[in-house]
Amino acid sequence: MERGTQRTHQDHQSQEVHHHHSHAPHQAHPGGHHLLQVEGLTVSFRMYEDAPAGGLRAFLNAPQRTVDVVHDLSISVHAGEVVAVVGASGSGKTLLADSILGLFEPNALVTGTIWYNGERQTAEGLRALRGRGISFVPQSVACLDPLMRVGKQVRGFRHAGGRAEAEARARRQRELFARYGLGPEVERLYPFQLSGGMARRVLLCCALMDAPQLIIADEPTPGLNEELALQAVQDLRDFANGGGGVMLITHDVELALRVADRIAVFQDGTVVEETSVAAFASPEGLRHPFTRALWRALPEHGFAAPVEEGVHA
Amino acid sequence: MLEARNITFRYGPREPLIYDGFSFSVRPGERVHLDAPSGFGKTTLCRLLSGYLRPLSGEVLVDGAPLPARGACPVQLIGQHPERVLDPRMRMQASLAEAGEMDAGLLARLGIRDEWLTRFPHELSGGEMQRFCIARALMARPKYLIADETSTMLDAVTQAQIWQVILEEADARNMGLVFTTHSRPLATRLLIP
Repeated sequence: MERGTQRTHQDHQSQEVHHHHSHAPHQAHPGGHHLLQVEGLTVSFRMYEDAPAGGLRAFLNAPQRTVDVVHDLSISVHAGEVVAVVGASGSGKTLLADSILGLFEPNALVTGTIWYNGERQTAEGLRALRGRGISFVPQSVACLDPLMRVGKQVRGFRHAGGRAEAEARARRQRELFARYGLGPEVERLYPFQLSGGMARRVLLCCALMDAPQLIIADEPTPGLNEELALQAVQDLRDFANGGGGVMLITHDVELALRVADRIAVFQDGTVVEETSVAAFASPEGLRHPFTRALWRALPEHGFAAPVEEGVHA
Repeated sequence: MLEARNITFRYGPREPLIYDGFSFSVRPGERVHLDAPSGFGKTTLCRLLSGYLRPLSGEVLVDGAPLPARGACPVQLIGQHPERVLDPRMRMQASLAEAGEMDAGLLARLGIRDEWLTRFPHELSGGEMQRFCIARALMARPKYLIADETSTMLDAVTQAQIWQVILEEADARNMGLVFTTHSRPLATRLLIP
């Protein structure tokens, strides 16, 4: 696997399609590699079968089975690029994010290979990169500590650099809050006092605090009005234009089309179609039936709920 | 009729008043879109109307009577964060049973798969949890349904599917529907049949 990858890296300039995707010629690979590359990712969970009747012994020996949730998924992100992962809810998009961040549930079995900056990563390596290179904007506002004022959560605490660093971080936090339209009074609030939109902006500020190279944003826009949602994705776009990479996980196709360079369509645990933004201009440009169903279900196109089984999420 | 009469509300004694002598009403079968920027109190109003919050003064009435203190509320709320309204230690079928009689047809139309029934909330995605919350709200046979950014976490296909079910149920039972959404195309779709 390692050697095969080196070979494809050398072919990058000459091949139009590589690593299951194509991209515009201006998107270089600094250092001859992708910022992030995921190959053959499979995530499954060990779950208990319903315990058969028969008391404690049967209960303790309840059979387990393995459920595949993500299978054989490959995707890559270049520096300077926004890749949108769009698809059905429940198709495993969040598990992709968790895998890249090394966040694994105790009963998860994860296989596959992840490279970051050309280096093959272990689970420990991914954990070490979390917050130091790769930052995460989570989906659930429940990720905020309900008992801590939000300013403090964004700054973090116990800094190695002592008072000077704490002050620098406070300045950065205030800059970020100001940029995202959060007033100075907001840093004294607790999460329950924030509106849904404010909470999401606080989460985005957390991710930007440590000047990451790669941002994994898992549904950063629900609950924001159109203007704020556009601003949120535009900020991710600016981050990419400044040389960072963004994996934008979203169900919002319209929004993805406005900022992304490439769209990876996700269904039932894998990427079924990786295509350019331009292909979404009309359903004829789209190859996979699920991608076309997604297009037709948009409120502005037809609001069509597909009847055939197998397309539904 | 669902009415808010002269309601006043703030989150604490030193917090600003969010609603001050506010009145509002919805007739059976009516669809109302609540529209305001982020942070203007749309969710607060949804919670007041459905009894999750009590107004400081004024009252919320259904057909002239205050919301009952016991039993299923005739105004059901489907919120923005399904993970916050499901007991993390209850399997999904137990959470559904809170609303009474299981309606297998409704579950099927919402795309709820049988194998999800024995799972815990953390074993489901946000969109899957939301389908359960919708099923639970509808199974409680409400007269009014409050949908606060209900489909904001759903992909377009699922969104179309669940709204189709909600609108069919609302029409069939002559239910009043109050909703918030940041999506202008969606609001247009829901208001203009």
